[in-house]
Amino acid sequence: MIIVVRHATFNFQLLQNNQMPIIETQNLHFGFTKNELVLKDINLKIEKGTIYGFLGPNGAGKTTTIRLLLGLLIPSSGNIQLFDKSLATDSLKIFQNIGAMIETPSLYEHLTGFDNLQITRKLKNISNKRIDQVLEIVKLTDASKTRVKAYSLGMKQRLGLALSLLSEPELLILDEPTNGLDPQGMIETRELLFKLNKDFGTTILISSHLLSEIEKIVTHLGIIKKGKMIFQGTIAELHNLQLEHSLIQLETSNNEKAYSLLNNNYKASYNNEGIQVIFESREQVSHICKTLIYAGLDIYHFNVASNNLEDIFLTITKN
Amino acid sequence: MSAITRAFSTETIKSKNTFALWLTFIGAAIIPLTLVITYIYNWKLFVPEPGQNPWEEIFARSFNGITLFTPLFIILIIGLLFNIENRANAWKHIFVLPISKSSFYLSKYLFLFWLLLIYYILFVSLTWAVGLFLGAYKKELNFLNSAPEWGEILTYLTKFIIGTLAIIAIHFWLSFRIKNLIANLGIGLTGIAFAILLNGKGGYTIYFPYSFPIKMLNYKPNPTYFLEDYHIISLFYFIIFSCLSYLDFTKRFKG
Repeated sequence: MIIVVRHATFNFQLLQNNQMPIIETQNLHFGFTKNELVLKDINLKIEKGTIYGFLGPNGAGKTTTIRLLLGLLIPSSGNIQLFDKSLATDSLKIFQNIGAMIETPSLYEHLTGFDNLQITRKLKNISNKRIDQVLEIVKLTDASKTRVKAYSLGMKQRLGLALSLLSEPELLILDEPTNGLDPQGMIETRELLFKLNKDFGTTILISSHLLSEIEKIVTHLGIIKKGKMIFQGTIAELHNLQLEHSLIQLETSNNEKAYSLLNNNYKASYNNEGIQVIFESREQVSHICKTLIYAGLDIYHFNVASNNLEDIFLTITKN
Repeated sequence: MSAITRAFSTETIKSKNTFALWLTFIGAAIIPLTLVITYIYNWKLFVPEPGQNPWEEIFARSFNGITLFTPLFIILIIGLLFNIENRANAWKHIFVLPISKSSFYLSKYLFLFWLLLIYYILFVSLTWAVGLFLGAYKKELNFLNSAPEWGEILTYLTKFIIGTLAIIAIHFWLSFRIKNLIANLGIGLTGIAFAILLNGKGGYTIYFPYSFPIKMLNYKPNPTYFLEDYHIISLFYFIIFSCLSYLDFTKRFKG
C-alpha cells in the first residue's frame, strides 16, 4: 500500500469542550539533564469520562510524561493540574482519586495476590471487601492465594490492574498495560477498560506504541514524537486526517489532459510519476474512473491508496 | 488508624516469607546455640568458683558474640528490608498512593526497630533458656541455683543499642539510595573490617561508627558516666543522619 501524506502539517486540535479537564498540563518541559530536554512544551488536556490514548514510538516520552503526571519526576518548567488541583501542592488529595500502573506492575512476588492487594488496600485505607470485588473483575479469584512468583505475565498484569482499581478511582493512568500479553489477554484488558469507562465513567489515560492496540476503545488521542505533541484530538478528527490523505495515483495515455479534466472537481497534482488525486469517498473513485474513460483516455495505472489510522499514525511519527 | 500505623501493618505483611524475618530469628539464636555446644563440650571449664554467679559468664560470652555479629546483622536486615521494595520495583507504586512519604519513611524505620527489638528479646531469652538447659544438663554449672542480673543485662543492652544507632541511620540512608544489596553489604563489611582491625581502639575510632559496637567487647562499665564518649557520638550521628535521610527521602527521593 502506498502511503502518501499530502500536507505534513498537523494542527494541534485541542479539545473544544466546556467540561473541566481532569488532566491538564501547560507548557510542560522536562530534561534529565539541564541541557537536554526530553519533553518539550507538552499541553495535554484530558476531559472527564474520556478514554485518552497516549501514543508514540518507543522512547518518544510517553512514560516520562506519565511519571511527571504522577509526581515521580519534577518538571523543568510548566504546570500540571489534575482534578483542577495543582500536583505540586495537593498530591495526596489527587492520589485518592487515581489508580495507576506504570510499565510493569509493582508486585511483591514472594507474597500472594491477595497479600499484594491487602498492602495497597491498607495504604489507601479502603474496605476489605473491595479486594474480592477487584479480584472478581480481573478474574483472579481462584489464584488469589497463590504466590505471585507463580503467576504468568498476563496474570501479573491483571493483578497490577486490580491494584489500580482498588479505590474505584475516577482516573486510571495505565502505561502500556497490554505489554507482554497474548492476543486474548489484550482483548480482555481492552474489554475491561471499556466496561470501566462505560459503567463507572472512569476516565482512562492509556499509553501505547501501537495505535491498533487501542484504537477500538479510545475516544481521544494524543500523539507524541521525540518529546513533542504532534497531534491531539478526537478519533473523529484523526479520521478526518485520514480522509485528507486518501488519494489515487494514476497514469494515462495523456496525463496532461487527464490532469486538466480532474483538476476541475478534485485536488489533483501532476508530475513525472503521474497524477495524484485526492478523493473523499468510493463514489468519487468511480467518478474519476468514468471521467477518464468517457474522455477516451487509456488508463495504464490506477492505484487507490487509502491510509488507515495505523498508516496515518506511522506516517505522522515517521516524518 | 493513622497513616503510620497503616503503613507499619503493611510492613508486617511484606516481611512474610522473607529472609529478613528468618534472619531475625536465626540471628538471635546463633550465639546462644553456639554457647550450648561450647558449654557441653568443655563444661568443666565453666564450673563456677564458689560464690560466683555462672550467669555473668554466660551472658558476658553471649554479649561478646553479638558485639561482633550484630553490626553485620543490622546492615543485612536494613538492606533486605529495602530490597523488598527494590525487587518489586515498588517505589513508583507507593509514591502515587495517598500516603505521605514521611509516614512511609517513619513506618519503615519503626518496623526496623521492631525487628531489632524482637532480635534482642529473643537473644536474651534464648541465652537465658540455654543457661537453664545447661543447668539441668550439668548441675555443677550451678545455673539453677542462681539468677541472671537482669538490671546489668538491661544496662548493657541499652548501651549496646545506642552504640549501633549510628550504623542504623547511615545504612538506612544508604539502603534506599543504593539499590544494590551487595554494594550496601560491601560498604558495611569494609567498615566492620576496619573497626575489627583497629580493635575498636585508637584516637579517632570514637568518630568511626562501625567501631562503636566493637568497643563494647569485654565491656566494663564506667563508674563515673553512664554513657561513654562514643555512645554520645553515636546518638549524635543517629540524629544527624536520620534527619538528613528523612529530608532526602521526603524531598528528593523519587524511587
